[in-house]
Amino acid sequence: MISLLRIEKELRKGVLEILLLNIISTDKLYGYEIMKKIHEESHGFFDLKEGTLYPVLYRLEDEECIESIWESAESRRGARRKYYLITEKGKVVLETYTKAWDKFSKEVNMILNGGQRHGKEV
Amino acid sequence: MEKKYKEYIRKVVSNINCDYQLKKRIESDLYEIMMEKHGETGIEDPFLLMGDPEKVAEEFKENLNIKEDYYHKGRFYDIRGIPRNMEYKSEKMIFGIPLIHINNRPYGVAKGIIAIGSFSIGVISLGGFSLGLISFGGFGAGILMAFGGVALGGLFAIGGMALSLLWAIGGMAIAGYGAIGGYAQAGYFAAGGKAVAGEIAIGSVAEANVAIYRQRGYGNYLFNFDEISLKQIAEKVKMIIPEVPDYICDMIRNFTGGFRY
Repeated sequence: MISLLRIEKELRKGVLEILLLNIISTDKLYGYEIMKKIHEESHGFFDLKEGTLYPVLYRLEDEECIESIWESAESRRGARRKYYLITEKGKVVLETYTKAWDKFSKEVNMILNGGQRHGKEV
Repeated sequence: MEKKYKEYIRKVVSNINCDYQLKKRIESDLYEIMMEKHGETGIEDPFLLMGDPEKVAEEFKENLNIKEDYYHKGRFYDIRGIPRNMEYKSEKMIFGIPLIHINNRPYGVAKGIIAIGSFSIGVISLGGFSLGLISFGGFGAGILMAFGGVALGGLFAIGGMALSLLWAIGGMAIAGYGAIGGYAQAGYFAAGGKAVAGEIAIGSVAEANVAIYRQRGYGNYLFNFDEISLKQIAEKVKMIIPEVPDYICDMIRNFTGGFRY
């Protein structure tokens, strides 16, 4: 039997990069803030743990889609926080991802909803 | 609190098989997130804040695509079947420290009651650089004993270069009390090619209060062991310094091989 949890997990993993890029594109955010924001905006559907969030951030940073800067945080009595910002390359990647996602989701929905199919009928 | 958090983070990263830089990256991010969570919730206990460190590590490994090694005939292999350097930590803990920790990775640090690694810290410690109660290593520092290329021992040191507060034996041996070596220097007794000591020195060249020499001697009481037997010298030393331990007299008596034809 196919596990629903496993499918959900895989689907979530697949869209995390685009979601994180999108969230970071609006403002510079630190790790914990990203976790909270994604949780709020998805109404609790995306409840990220550190072990999921940071590997994606590392990949995006290594691919130069985002960059990090350390700044002192007033709310933490001057302790430093690592903020993430989207780069120019990241903006381009986000735009490409978004277009690809639109097309992908439209096509998948169409198939799942039994809509018009393209290509040769067999 | 900071110490507890760092210990927790160490538990997480010790379960993630990755390079040093990535470990440091994870450590720094986990620490920051723990401080944020603590600031928001007021909870200090890292386990309540973050959960089981092994599960945190598992999630990192899964999302970083770090595969588990497997063990076959005494070696660890990665998922492609390529032999890996190995790290082993025993489950048995004593005062929160693993009984055995072996870290054979390049620049790997092993910390355990018995620690073996490039850098090792333990009660019994073996490694390139080892620090412990008893240490063996290229560079070994031991509170009790050290053995190594360079050995620094609290009580005893044996090595190419041996330094100790009590006894040292080595190519170059320097000690607070007794030293034996090519070059030996000590506070009380030294024996070697060149021996320098506070009280008794025996060697080709000897310098001490009582200097037993073959080529040159410097001191208050000089004995050339080409002219008088070592047995006689030992008796005279006992007369000059009555409190001299018997085992040192025995060493003088038996120290013939290196100096006699």
